[in-house]
Amino acid sequence: MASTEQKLKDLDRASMKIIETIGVKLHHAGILDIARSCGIRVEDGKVFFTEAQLKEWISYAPSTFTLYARNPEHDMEIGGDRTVHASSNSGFPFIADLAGTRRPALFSDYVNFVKLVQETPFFHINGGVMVTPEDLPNDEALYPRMLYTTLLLSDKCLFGGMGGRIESEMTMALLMAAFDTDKEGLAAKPRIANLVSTLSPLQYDEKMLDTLQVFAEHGQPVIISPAVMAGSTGPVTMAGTIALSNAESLVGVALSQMIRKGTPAIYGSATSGTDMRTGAFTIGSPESALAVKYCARLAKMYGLPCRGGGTLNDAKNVSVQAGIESTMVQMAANLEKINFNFHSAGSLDTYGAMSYEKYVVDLDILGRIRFYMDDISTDEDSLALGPIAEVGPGGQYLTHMHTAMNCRTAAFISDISLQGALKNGMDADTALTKKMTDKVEKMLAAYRQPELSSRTIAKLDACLAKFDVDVAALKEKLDA
Amino acid sequence: MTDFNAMTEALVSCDAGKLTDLVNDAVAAGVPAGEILNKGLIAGMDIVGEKMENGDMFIPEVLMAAQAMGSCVEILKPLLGDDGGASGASVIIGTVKGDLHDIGKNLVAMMMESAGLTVHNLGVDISPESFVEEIKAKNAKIVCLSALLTTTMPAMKQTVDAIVEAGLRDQVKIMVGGAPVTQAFADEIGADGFAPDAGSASKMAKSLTV
Repeated sequence: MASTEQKLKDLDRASMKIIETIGVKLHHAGILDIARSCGIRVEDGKVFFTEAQLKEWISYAPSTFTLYARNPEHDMEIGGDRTVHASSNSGFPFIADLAGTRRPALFSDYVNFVKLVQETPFFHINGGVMVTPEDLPNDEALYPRMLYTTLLLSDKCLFGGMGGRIESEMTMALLMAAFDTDKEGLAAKPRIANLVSTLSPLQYDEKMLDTLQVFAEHGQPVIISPAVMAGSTGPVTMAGTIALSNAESLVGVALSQMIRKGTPAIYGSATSGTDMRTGAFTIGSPESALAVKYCARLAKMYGLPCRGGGTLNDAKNVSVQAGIESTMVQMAANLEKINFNFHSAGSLDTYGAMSYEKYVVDLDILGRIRFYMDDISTDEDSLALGPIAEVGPGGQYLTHMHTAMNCRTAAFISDISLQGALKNGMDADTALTKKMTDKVEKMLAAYRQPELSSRTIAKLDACLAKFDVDVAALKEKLDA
Repeated sequence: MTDFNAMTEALVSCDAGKLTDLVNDAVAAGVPAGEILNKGLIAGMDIVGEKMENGDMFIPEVLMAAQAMGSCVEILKPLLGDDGGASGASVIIGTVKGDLHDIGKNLVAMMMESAGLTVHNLGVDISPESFVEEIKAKNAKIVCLSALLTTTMPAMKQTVDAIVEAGLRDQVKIMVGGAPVTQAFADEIGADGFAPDAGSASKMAKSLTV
């Protein structure tokens, strides 16, 4: 078996061949013109980079950058060996209950998830499209309504929407109003990151390229996100699919730099497998974990920050399947030091639905993995030679002061797992469910709205009104 | 005596060479083309469909079987009647305006073709007006609309509305599908059917044409 280093070289070689000889189709005349003006060969709507060209352009992307929050305590340093987490955020149209039964997501669900994220110490980025509310107009201002809501309810960094030119321009206008700045001010202190998904194999659609263009022009971070499905939108063998995904992601990063050199660009992968029995995308699989591994390794080889999942799973409900799959992929992300760890809490059913219960279960998974990653300390107090001597052979430690002093920090304390005996009269399923629902309720009850000046709110109201949004109706819905 | 079982077995085992030989032998022996199509090929694809539903055949294997069947249908076509051998109704299928995803839709098209329907695959990013024109041009009995994105689901309703406005609603059955699509959504926009996967979409299309 070849070494991992050799495999990375093999993948890079394959990707360069794809980029040089097969090309990537861009459904966007303007971006093709930009590529042409940068000396890139353009034929039949496809861009063909030489390896030297590609590697030069990606070298302009910063290896680390800061995403700024309204509250500086939530500023995020992205890159290097740090891992920051973000909630699941894929425009989920449904909420799944414990049985896996789906119902349409509502604006009230969106508000609840913004509050939960605000209350989650793991997350310093909020918003995006954690759910697609059925009861908001599905028009160009759908996401701007959600961004407005997030700006009112949270002081964390911000995540973008579904994309497209009009929506992205509205987004920039709202941010300039919120942070009392202009285009260059935004570029100097990036506030929002957004996904730029590819249309695998080897294509970018117009909407995503419009998003890339508007975000890059404003110096806001873009997360290039191929989701190649091995066996359907990519070769069935993971090596070929990863090479394809790598090619797509690198071209996206290069394009971001052609639009504006120095734009923060995250090399991403949501690549995974296909269930050959049904044709379904499988994101909770070992292939998914392998894609995460090679996403991190390749990005670090290229000197780029990287994005990968997450507590990914294909389970229909909060179940054994959800736990197995989510933990495996999330563990891979932490071990491989994925920088922007996306979809870290809340989703079920292959990006199909959000779940309140899964959200808190996933926080528990993140907590226990962080505990593992933090490793043991071997300082004198942790080695505890004093207590060991004092207790001696045959004694016990429960009554020792060292235990009392450290019992709240030395072990991971789960909010979800059932440990110890069950209370009388309660069955295990009921007890476990109660832990989940209690945790959700506790977090929502603890939520406090961060301050935002009335002047800023007035500016946001005026900005949103310009997009023909009924601000009063939105506020009424928010208050309800 | 023609061994239709051997044909279905060759189809199920994706043995295109053997299937072609068996079909050619049957034609040479004077077996009516329609009988070969129905008792050999379509009967075989029914078994393939069942095996796929049970997880016993994988999608790529099903598609290989469908391709093997397709090449044999080409042999039979000149010998069949004016309808080119299609025993089923005319179906048009496409991904709605604004959406470029087509893998699931293509899978549905292949399964429907294998079930004997005459499928016209319009491609992706199809406007409501184009669907209406194609219904007229192809005398379609079934229209299948596909969308992967929540943002393009409204285009499904726009397409249904356009079909109603064009006065074609009574002529066609409308089916919808795609990852975010549900039965409730199908009901809401006035579609006749929703199928969660390619196999059941094909079955539903056949049942809607009966």
